[in-house]
Amino acid sequence: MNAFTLGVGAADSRLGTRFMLGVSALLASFVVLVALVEKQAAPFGAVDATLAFAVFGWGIPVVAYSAVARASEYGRLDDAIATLSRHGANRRAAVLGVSFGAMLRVAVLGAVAAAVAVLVAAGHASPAVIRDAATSAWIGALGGAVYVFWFSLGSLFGKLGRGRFVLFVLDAVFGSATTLLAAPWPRAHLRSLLGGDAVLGMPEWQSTAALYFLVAACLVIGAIRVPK
Amino acid sequence: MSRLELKGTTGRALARTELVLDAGSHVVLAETSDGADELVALISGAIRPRRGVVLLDGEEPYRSEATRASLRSLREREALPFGRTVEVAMDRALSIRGSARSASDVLGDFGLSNWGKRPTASLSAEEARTVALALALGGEAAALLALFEPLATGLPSDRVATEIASRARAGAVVVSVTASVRDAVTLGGRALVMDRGRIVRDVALLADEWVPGSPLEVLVAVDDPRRLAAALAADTDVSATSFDVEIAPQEIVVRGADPSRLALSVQRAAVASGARITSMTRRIPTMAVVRAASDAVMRAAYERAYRASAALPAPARAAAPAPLLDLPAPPATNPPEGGAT
Repeated sequence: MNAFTLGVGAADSRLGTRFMLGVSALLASFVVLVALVEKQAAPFGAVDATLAFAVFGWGIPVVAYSAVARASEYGRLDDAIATLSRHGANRRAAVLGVSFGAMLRVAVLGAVAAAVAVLVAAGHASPAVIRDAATSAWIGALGGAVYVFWFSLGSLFGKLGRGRFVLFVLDAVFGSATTLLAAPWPRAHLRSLLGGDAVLGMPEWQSTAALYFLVAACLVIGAIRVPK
Repeated sequence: MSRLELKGTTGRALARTELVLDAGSHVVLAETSDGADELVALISGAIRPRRGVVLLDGEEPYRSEATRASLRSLREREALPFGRTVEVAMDRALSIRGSARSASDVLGDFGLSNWGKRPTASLSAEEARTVALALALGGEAAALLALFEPLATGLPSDRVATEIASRARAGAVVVSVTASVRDAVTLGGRALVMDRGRIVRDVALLADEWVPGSPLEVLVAVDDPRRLAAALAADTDVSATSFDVEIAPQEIVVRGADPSRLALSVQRAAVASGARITSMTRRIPTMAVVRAASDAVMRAAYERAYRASAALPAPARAAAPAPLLDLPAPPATNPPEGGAT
């Protein structure tokens, strides 16, 4: 069994059924509640408002943060795989495996949460709404994946991996802008993909590319940070 | 034959250390506050030194997965790899190492077969250390064993000591870190004394050199200590005897310079006095006493180096303090020799 597979296995064991069910239930409740409230308050903008606030504003970042924190055993991610690396497992591959295991789960949750938000906020399932739900689900999956790698990178810095909290706060603060300051943060590009304000006037395909670039940057910096 | 090198290695508690350890058994006498567990973590590649480097056969365990696979460690707090049961978790660790042995074999070697089916989460801290030690000693030959308090687990001490000795003989570098002088003596080999993160002494002969200058002490359990003490009184190999009939009515402490002659003297005295000896054990100094002795050795070395240094001026004698009041000198009671009387 190679170190990557072992890392995925470690993520599986830490993000067990009970944790995932609990997180899913909380996320679904939050998204549905916000969708119903928004629908009642402003039926025409309910979908956008629910996606912007409940799903991409708080839901996905908080779920990704919780999943990474749990997969890192609430400490540093590289310390969390010490039980594997001490016996000779490749640290880099094991860390990547843990992140990948968490990413799969959060991506699925992000996709489902985004689709549910669209369907509940729209209140009907016309072809246009279903198309919108599918697009949002794709963005939700991408958002979940980016946030997991983003917070995984943060978990490699600071005592007890507090770097992930710093990234969480910075993303919430700077990601809301549209200037150059917003460019490195996932929140800004995800908002752009949803049809919100663009970052530096970038079109959607560039925001998508920027998110992929962020993932690649996380992998490269992580590889430099974690020795074999 | 393996070789471990610490080159300017500095940790959080560990001060800059230069050390070369060849194959064999090495005991580091240290407490957690001295960086005992940190030393094990650094040696085993679990953490990166703040400065300097740790090399096992020229490779850094922290950076080389192959080197980590060739060493075994036991930390102050242990955790097994993920797995529902102890056996599954241990099998995972063994497979990462590339070991051909199974967890049930390893557990069976140490009489822990019934632990295999236990949930990993049910292990107490001590049990986790016991399993980790079994894992460290139970697999194939290793280049290095870095063990924190190896005799303080659930495994029998004599069995652990025997296993450690056999690994050392097989060419592994065995570094056992303990805060117990008794355990250090049991483990044997070269001993290093750590104090506040520094290795302050390298004691080649265990027990005889822990407290240089102090006599060897033998604790004798005897039915009549008074009679034995009387018989030992005239023995020239015995420097002192002491006993307290109130606190330990059947014990006597005998001091002397030579362990063999001391033991013979006690036996001769027992035969002569008719006192019946139940046991005779060497008294091991406590960690505090060894620390104090290490401090004294360092001070003495410093003094010697200071005085031997030609570059430094000889220490000046302290001048007499000036009188506080300018009073006339008192009349001399003993006039100098040759003076008028």
